[in-house]
Amino acid sequence: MRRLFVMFLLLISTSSPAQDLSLCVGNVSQFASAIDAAAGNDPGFDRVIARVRTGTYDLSGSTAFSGNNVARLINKDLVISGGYNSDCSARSLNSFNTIVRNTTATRGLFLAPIGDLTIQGLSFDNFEGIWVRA
Amino acid sequence: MTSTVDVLTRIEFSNNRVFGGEGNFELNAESGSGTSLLILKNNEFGGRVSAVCPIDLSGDSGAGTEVRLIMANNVISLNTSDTLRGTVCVRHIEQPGFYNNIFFVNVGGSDLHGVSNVAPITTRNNIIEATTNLTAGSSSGNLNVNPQFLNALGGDFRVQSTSPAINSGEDAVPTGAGASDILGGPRFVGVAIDRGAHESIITGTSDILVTSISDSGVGSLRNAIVAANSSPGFNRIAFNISGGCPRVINLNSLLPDISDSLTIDGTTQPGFVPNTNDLSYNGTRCVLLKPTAGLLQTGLRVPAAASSSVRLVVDSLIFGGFGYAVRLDGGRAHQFGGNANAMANEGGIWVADADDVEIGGSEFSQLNTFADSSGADGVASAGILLGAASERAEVIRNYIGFSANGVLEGGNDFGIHVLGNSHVIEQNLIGNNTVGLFFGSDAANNSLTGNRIGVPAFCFVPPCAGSGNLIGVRILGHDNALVSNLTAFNSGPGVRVEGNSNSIIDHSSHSNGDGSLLVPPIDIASAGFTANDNDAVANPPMAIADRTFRRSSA
Repeated sequence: MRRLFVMFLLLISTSSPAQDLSLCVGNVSQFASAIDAAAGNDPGFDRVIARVRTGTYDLSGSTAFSGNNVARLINKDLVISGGYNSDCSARSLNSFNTIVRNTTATRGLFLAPIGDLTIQGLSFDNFEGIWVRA
Repeated sequence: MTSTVDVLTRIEFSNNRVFGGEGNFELNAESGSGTSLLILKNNEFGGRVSAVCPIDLSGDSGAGTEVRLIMANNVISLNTSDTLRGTVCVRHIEQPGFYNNIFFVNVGGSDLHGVSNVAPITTRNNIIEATTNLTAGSSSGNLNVNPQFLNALGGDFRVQSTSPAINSGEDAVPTGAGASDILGGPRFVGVAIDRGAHESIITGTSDILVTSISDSGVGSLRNAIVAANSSPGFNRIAFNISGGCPRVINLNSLLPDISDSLTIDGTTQPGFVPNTNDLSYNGTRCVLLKPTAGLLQTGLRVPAAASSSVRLVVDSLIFGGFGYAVRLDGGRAHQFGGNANAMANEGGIWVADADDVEIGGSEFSQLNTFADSSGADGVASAGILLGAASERAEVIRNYIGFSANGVLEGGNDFGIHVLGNSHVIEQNLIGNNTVGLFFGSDAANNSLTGNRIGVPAFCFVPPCAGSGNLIGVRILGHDNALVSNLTAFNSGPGVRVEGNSNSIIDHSSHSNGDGSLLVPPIDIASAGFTANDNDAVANPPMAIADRTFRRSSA
């Protein structure tokens, strides 16, 4: 077991400095799970990559994205990328195809990342309040 | 002694559309006492209403914080702000830069407003009406004109074919402009990038076709360069040579200097396949330049007499058998992407006296490989040489010390040799060289971030052989910053620092040295373990691989 652990360390140290958790997002619940993973402290990964399928996502009322109007602490590096197909194996980077909405008066996206944050390829359509405070 | 700083934070918002809605769109980057990046590229912000600022960008007011803002190729139109503020408000930003943005018909305050503590702003090639409460710094190419949107009220911010935004942007955007525009099309089309979030298909170029592998004559590369030099404007040399890949162009003598802006586009040769891999080069380059016999001093050269408006773009060629494959003595903002420096050149690319050069980039297709650069006369040669008169080059995601496929060993004397200032060297794989990175005694204020030095490109089945350099990084210069790099498997120290006031931050190191206790992973001042090195661990074994060090040089 110890040998396996050492081999694992060797593997991660020679391939890439960061370990990724890649998630294919197709609905608001999966979207929230990706944010939850990035907000958690699982030592098994350093970065969460949320590949968001094309479509429309109404984030209104979900506390996963805004911490109930208190900044959601994001402990991992987080990449949110829109434009993916049904199994997230291919991408068309056209921001018009992946739409996120928030129709409530509160901040719809209120994140406080400790590490790096990338948001790419999304269309924020009549979206109330987007705050990112590192 | 220089104090260390915290991890660099990078907030990037790119290729997004923000249309309609109320309230602030706020991005804040702060890192306590570090340097952070706040990047907005290729976005649209339209029809947004705020009682204060529709777009609010800020850093931290803490002492020691440096926040660098790069806002490029955005459209900001039809937004409403407080009359005393602006559509885009900035505060506590130490390095604010605005490139190729279009501000048009925003209501309320100005287009761009400084709230507090904003350093002089760099503005290049924007379409902008007014700024308030800001001090102008470096400024060029800005216009106050109608960008001619197709249908702004309908949310269509593409531009008409007669728009002044087309082919008039600044290509040298810090950290790169990205590969795609907001609709997913190529970001670079034509003689220059467009302003705004959309790239038109209008090229504005004249193509000159190479159809022959012959050294000279009709259809040769030599004739094409002569024709391009005599044709004003930005030309492109394309290839359509019959036969399979690679087509080899044997040169009997030096090619003519490149005296006017030019793209030499190896992707146009039939059979070319772009790289799509981050772990090796899996594409197919199809045009090889080499001497017919012996060694030629240079492959391609921009002479010192070239003005700063002259720009050379070299895309996806193979070079072999040159003193330096590419030498840049003049011009500015050259780009070198997708190329292979292979087959025993004495050197790869020499940026002798040209600023803002981009080598590699964030896209897989831009990955260059640099191998086998070795000075035949005993003078060390480099895969990449950033000369003393050059500044602000960006060397991003290249494979240095690896063969054209990005896997096999191909060490250089020096992987990267830095003599100039303010260069950014980021996310490269550097192995198999005598010295991975060598900073000369006058090299200062350079940034080395997220590079992997001494490791192979990938490893799926342990135990994994390394791709060590004799020395990972050697620094004679001063005030350089090494952040979040990994050194491993180098046979000497991972980092050897002989200059003053350099910072090494969140550095990971393991398996360097020859197994003795005489080689510190970070070796400061005199070689070997000294009092300067007494808080480091000698040759950390695998079990504590990726140990993080936070050190400063004396």
